[in-house]
Amino acid sequence: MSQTEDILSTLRMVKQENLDVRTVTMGINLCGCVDRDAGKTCELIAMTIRSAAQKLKETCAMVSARYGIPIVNRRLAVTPIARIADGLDTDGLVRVAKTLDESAEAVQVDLIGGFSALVHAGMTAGAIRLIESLPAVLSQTQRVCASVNAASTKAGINMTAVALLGQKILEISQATADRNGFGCAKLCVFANAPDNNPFMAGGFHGEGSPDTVIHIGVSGPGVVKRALERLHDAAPDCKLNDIAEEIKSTAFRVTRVGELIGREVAERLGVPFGIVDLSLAPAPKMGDSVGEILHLIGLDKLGAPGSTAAVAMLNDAVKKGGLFASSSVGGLSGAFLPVTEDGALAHAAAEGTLTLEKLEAMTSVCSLGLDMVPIPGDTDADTLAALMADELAIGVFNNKTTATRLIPVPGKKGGDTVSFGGLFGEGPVMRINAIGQSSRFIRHAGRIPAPLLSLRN
Amino acid sequence: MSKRYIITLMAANRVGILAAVTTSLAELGGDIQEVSQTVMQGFFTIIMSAEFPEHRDPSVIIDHIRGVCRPFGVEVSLKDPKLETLQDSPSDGIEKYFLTAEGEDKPGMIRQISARLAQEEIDITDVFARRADNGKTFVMVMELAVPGGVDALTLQQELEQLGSAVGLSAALQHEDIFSATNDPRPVRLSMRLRKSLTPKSETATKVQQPTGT
Repeated sequence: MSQTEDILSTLRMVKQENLDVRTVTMGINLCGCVDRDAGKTCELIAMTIRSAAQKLKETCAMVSARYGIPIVNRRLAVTPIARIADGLDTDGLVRVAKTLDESAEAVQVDLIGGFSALVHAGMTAGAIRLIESLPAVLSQTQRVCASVNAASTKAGINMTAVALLGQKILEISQATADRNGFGCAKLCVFANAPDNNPFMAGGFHGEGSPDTVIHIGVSGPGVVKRALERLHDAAPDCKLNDIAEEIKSTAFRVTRVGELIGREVAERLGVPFGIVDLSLAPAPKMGDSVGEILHLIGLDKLGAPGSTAAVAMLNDAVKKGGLFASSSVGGLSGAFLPVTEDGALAHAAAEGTLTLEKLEAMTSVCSLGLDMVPIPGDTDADTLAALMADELAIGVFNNKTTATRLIPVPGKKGGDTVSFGGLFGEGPVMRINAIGQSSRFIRHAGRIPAPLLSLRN
Repeated sequence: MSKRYIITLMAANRVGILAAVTTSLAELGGDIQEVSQTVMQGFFTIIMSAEFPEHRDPSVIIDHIRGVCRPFGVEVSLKDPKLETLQDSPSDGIEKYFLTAEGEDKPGMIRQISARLAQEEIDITDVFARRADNGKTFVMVMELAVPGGVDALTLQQELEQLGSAVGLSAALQHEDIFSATNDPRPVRLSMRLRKSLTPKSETATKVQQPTGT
């Protein structure tokens, strides 16, 4: 049979190298649910979500069986809630969040993203109330994910919003102190947030999208790692460009899985197909780690000099392979460096070779930012805001998406270990250099103006 | 008028066998319609469909091929399709799947799996199987023609259970996943799916409408 080797190599990616569709995310427009009355809004939201997503689970099961590809998660991404609940008070917003939580449970999805506000050019009263409600929302719901776009290359950085978020993140951490501040893992603060992103916590249903749409997030650090191991066995003296080519062709194959599954799920549900996002999203188990890929590229310790260059090459090769595989590539599409979710990164952070500053440098060329980074529980709000401002500045001034998911862990100091369980993993609380020295900067508030886009030297 | 026969040949593989076979066919006035050749562990086998002048006696065909190919020790057999009961091959609703099984080598595995497939009226259209790792493990790939009514989810679960009972890891996957991951051409969903799922769409309407009188 001429296809035998192709068939066996595809099968190997699934069975042995952890290739999966990490998420099928349905985007749902909730703009039709706007009402001054919180009860009415909630009723409309529940109805809209149920009717859009009631067949999502069975359809995913059917398509997963047809191709023998696991679909690990099903998720929803809704219109940024600040837009539809602008007329509601904080209590009303919490009711809306609980409705989202219950609706997600009813249609059997694990997360629902979109408790979000876009405030890069300024905050509406409604957006401020939404940010104020985050400690209550993220401590009282299970499945709801929140995000705030606080900066963009065209508007600059809204430092008033960043300062407010610094305070709220500490409050979220306190409100979920019994879970090591886990509520903060469900809040993503963005610069240049992509409209359609199937991964959580940062997913929401973007402007200009149809009523309902299917997005796909595929992962596959394990597949890339095994491909590089085979390359090293076959050609021990391979050059870095050979490694980049291998990553690229592997990214192509992985993205194709997402394209096929996404188009078929969308077709069966009778809704448009949106984007496929190939991101190397690690999971804590061995063999599914971006850090292990960096080891294979030749870094004995993560965070050692060369780490930023290696991440840049990896991220770029992943994007190139993905773009050739599908004309619907979108979302984040690159390599994530979430510290607690990646065993090798967590290990390097615990050993001290990977510092917060080096991680920040690496995020300037990777696809997300300071992601799943536990920090000391006694960090002050201004230092927290300043950390976010640094990461957002990288995105704004380099015209790319960056984000933070910083988790102040109550009662823990730098170097302590914290565990969030399951896919969220565990890792060390990372030390912050020169803590408490940024308050005057943050208390200016206001806006960092949009950057110059010419004369870029 | 010509008459069609199905012929198979088997021999230890040597350079020149195909040349000898085709020479003998030319001498018999035969015309090859379809041919498939496989070489496995040093042995060569051919199955072909060929047309001959109607008056050509089947025993003459066999004897002549055998004679010309004598230096190669070829075994020849011939069937007349008119004398056989052929299975109908319903093309409508059939989808191509691949069943892959890997695991410890134990006797009887292909037998159990193929018996289960026969119950579902699933036709095995191609099989490749070999032992690997010095005979310790076993790899099998089967190409299946699965009728439209078969529930892939249930069948997959049953085959996985059947496999795991004998220490095999079995997977059933639609052919589209292999072309998507190995072929640089754009991803296409199976036409059948498009037709059956979008009965109101323009394409489907065109398909359903009669195109002539």
